[in-house]
Amino acid sequence: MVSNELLVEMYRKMCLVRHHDIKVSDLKIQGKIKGSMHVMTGQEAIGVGVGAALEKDDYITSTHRGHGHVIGKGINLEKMAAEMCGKATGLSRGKAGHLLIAEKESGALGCGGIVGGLVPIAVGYAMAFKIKGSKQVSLAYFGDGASSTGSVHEAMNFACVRKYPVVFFCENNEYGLTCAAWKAVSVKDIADRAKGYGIPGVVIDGNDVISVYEATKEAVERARRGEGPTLIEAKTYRMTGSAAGAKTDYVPEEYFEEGAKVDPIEKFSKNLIEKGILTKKQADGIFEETRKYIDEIYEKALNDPDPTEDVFWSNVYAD
Amino acid sequence: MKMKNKFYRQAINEALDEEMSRDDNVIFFGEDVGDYEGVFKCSVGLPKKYGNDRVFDTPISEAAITGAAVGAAIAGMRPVIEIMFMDWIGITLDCLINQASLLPYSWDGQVKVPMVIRSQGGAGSNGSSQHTKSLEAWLYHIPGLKLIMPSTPYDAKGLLKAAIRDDNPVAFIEHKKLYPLEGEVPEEEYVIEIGKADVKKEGTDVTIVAISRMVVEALEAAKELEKEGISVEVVDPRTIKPLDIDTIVESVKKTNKVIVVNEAFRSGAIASDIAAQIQEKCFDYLDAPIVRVTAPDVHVPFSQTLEPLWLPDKYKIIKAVKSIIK
Repeated sequence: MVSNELLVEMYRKMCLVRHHDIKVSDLKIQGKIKGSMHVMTGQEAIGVGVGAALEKDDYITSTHRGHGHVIGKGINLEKMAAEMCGKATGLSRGKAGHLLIAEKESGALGCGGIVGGLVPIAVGYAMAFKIKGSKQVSLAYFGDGASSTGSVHEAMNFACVRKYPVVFFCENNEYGLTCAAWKAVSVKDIADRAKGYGIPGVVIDGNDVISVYEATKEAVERARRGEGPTLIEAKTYRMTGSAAGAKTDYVPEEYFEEGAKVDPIEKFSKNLIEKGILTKKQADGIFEETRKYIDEIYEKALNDPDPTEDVFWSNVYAD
Repeated sequence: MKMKNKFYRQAINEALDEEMSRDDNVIFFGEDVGDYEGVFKCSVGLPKKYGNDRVFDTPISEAAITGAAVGAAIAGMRPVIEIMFMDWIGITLDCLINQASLLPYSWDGQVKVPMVIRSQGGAGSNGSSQHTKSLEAWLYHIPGLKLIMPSTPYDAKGLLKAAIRDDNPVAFIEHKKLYPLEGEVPEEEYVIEIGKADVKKEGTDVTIVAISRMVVEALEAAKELEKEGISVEVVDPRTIKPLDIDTIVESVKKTNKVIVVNEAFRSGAIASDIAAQIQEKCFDYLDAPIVRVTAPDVHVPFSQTLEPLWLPDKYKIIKAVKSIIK
């Protein structure tokens, strides 16, 4: 049973993620944030539901579309905003940018720009946890596009053979950049491949934050008990192009229409209001205050100092 | 110091054993390194001594092996992995280039990656084109990655221990024809500092900078040239990156002539970069162009009559020396 407190917190976090990605998308289009910007509007339930099911010292590896993952994991949002703006106050003092957002303290280790590239690293985290006898687990996010990479296949087989405490979490929004999953993935349900690796696989509604939370909790507990990996496939909709400002003419209108019908935040707020956990006023209040908060932190971040040359030369090697 | 004759592969084995004994966080995995004790026998005794959690066989999955080592290193272990043949280093490259070498930088020191990737290359054993390459130039190119290529059992043991203790990702590249090479190794524990070259033989007329097994060829060439009154100094960088260019330059300032020998395809061979660095630092001391002795830009052929055309050897080194000494 999920406590009301946790339910409301998940709602608040989903609002934060929604406003965050709209904000950075706008800032990118205005030219105030540089570089690529991969937003995950419509996919908020996943990062938040997963994050709620993990402990602080569990590690996640994320993707290039990972703001929801790391915010759900509890990353310091002010430092994240500063990093997105390339500032000296950022998580990497401006050396990472949007594609490599990471914070060790919150176990958000981390975002990465190589599709499928961090999944073997999540297996490595789990290897260390198992050898040390720790109860920590790792969770590796990857998309339908990444599910085809050699990295992901190798990582899964390896983790399953060694029974490492890692959860493989496939976020299927049906598009790998511009390529629809039906063109790139040989099965309809990626979770079916779990059988091929000898582990349980489950398909869930990625737009239902409770389903995400519960499936993740179960998989995480399995891993903590030493029973090895699970493959979760969360179906969802990417309600924008592949990046902020990108064209969407290759996406059929029906996809966006269906996605809009199952907006995870609308669904969840309706649910909470119906159950009497929040009033409409309270729900709207949370939606509004999180939007203000995001506005404030980006206002500050944009005006933070730029990194100096010493930052450029730092951490090439560990001392 | 009491010395004992050891094979190069034994030196590697002892380094692994000593470091694993010293630090519980050191683990070692790769293909066939567990129960079989390694195709080059570098892990003899280790699986039994340290158990399956710390020394184990992996599936044939170079990407996962490398990526898992990166992750385990970030999470506090000190993994050593074996990539059986350097020809397969390509499969490891995303994890090496895009993760191991750069996460400490891009995540700004929040993590470190204290891993060692051991591999071996080298031709001269009829291995044909896919089991003979020396591709260290690719690794040399990447910031954040250290590169060590020892030529003797003494260097191998001392440097592997240092590599395991280093908090950076280190590529430790052996040579298949060096494994049976014998050499003296101290009985007492010792570690060699990373980033220090070694003058393997002193001389006055010409410097030969040689990498890995080419040190053996250079020393044999030096013996031959000695008979003709040419005094050769052989400098073995040992650590290729960070390169001890100062020791090399000191030697060139003495001899005024230098040959760089590298068993690698000519284009982009590390010898090219060493030559560029030498002439940047001591151009005025050079009495002749810097000559590179490398393999040609041709793949390694199988036939035993063709392979010698590819392989740099003492004869090619002697020819190169004579081309710049009147």
